Amino acid sequence: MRSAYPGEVRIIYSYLLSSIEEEYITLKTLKNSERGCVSLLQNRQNGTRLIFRHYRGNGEVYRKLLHVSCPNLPQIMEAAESGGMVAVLEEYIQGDSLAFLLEGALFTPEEARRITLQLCSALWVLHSLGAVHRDIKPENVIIRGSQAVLIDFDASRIFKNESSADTQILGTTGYAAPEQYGIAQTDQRADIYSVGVLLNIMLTGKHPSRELAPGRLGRIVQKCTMVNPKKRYKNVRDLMEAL
Amino acid sequence: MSKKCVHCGAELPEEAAFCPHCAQSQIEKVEIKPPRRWRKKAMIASVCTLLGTFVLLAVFLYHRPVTLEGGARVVYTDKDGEYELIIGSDSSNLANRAPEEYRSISLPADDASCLPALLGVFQNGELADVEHFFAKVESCMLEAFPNENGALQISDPIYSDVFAPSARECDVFFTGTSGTNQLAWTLKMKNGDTIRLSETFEVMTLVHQVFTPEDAPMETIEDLKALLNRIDGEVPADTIVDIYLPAVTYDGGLTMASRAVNLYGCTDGSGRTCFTGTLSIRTDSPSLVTLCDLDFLGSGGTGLSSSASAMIFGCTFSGWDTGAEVADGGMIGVENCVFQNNGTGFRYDTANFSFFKSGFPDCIFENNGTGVQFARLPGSMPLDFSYTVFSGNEIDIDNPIDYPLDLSDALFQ
Repeated sequence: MRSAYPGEVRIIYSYLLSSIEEEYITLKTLKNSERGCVSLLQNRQNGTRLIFRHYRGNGEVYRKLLHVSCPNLPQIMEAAESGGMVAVLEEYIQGDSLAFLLEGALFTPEEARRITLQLCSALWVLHSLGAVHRDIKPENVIIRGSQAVLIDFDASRIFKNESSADTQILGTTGYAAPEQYGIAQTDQRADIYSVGVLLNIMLTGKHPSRELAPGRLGRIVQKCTMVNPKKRYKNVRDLMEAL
Repeated sequence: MSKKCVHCGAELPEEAAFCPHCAQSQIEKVEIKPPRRWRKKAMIASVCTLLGTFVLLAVFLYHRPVTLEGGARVVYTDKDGEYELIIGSDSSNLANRAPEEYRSISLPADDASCLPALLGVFQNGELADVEHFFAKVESCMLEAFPNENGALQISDPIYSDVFAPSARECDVFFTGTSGTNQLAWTLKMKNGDTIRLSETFEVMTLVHQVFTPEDAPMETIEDLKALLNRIDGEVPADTIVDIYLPAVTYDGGLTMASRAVNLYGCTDGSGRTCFTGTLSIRTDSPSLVTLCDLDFLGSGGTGLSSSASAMIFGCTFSGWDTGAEVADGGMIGVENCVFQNNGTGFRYDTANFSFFKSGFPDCIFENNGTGVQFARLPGSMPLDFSYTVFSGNEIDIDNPIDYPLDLSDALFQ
């Protein structure tokens, strides 16, 4: 796999923005914030729908994902950076978000277990690339057919051993691990914390601190959400084994 | 620098990963999947399977049919405990649980003989419940190896209280040229186990040495005593000695004390060889003493007394208190003999088992006080009374010990 050099990335960035302007129409603005926006685009010629992310931050994770495919991750079609801005074109995942589905009903333990395993598969790919998602929550999980797809890597970052603490507080309150609030350097165990919370939400509709899921899955949630990262599953494979 | 889209041919920057015109990727993506979750389970399953296999193997090894091979002693363990199997040829050795791994028999080349092969079964140092043990035995056999040209003939194993405490006994028939063989007992148990015991059975060919009146003086009982002493000193112990006696009457008793010597009476028509004193056979040799065509003419006392094994053929006993007597440790086989005018023709008075008891085929008991008397005789092997004639005796057979007799072919006149 070959990553584009920063200069090349800048060239692609300009090219991407102009091409989108010419070749695509914006069907919907999905998110708009100070950091940037997320839009649903459609190719003018063939109607292909894509997600366009344009935000201020680090696009390293997207660039790494350019070269990989995983049924539980959206395919990243293009990723470019320039001047601290990131432009990403990615596969549009057609389906309902977990958040939407949770409004209707909770999941059965088997459904929750299956979805969690699929999220673990997605995380395994991210983690194996040295990335941490850092924003796992029901809104970032799309159920496409029988597959759960983990989206939105805007908060993601590449884990660096030399960093002692994250420089920015990112993630979503409640789902983010304690260390993500600047206590310590975030690593893949932060995602395990979030997956634990998500699993508990699927089973009980509540944060584990309020109501822990019963039984074996509850015990897995408990271990995922230990305050001390060292007491959690040390990686997603261990979590998958437990599941 | 630019390149063309691989799908639509549109002009793209060299570094483009995506063609915005046709919305197709320009790079080959590598599908990444986490290691299959079942690997650990499979490993656990494999370990469990392996452990299970070991357990099954251990169970199989523990329960599999075993083959125990020993010499003359094997310890066999089954669900009923530990059995000690011992083989040998001598009941008393067996009673002492003394295995016999080797036995050597000497026999003239042209002679045939028979010895028992015994199998004893013990448990906790005592005789085992033989019936219970053999109820667990599928087959029991005794074979000889290499047994070239059928050098040994072996009868089927039986239980015979004659050889108590033996649990099974086989007769091993052999000749002086049978050589050395292994006698191997094989017991196949119903649970699949196999028990093998073996002993070396060596037959050494005895050399014959014959003495005739031409070789040594033998006119008197003193000549005979001197000849026996000479033979003791000169003739190797493993040499069979046959003495062919002249037609004379030997006055006085004769004791055959150290080695077995065969005595043959005169049969050339010039007369009979006669003993008027007691012939005592007290040899410590395992060889059989053979007496043929001799007349024992007495006036009281005992004509022949044997505490060794002897066979007598064509002899007559007359005028004795006891014509012939089996004493402790001895046995006499009798064929074609005549017992006349004795107080008792033939008397068993032994406390010892013997491997043979031939009986009295073709014998005549005539005008005796008692024909055959059973004072003491262990065992229950039927004696051969075929064509035995009893005539004019006050008591034909005196059997206070109720020794089992088969008189179906005996003739009482």
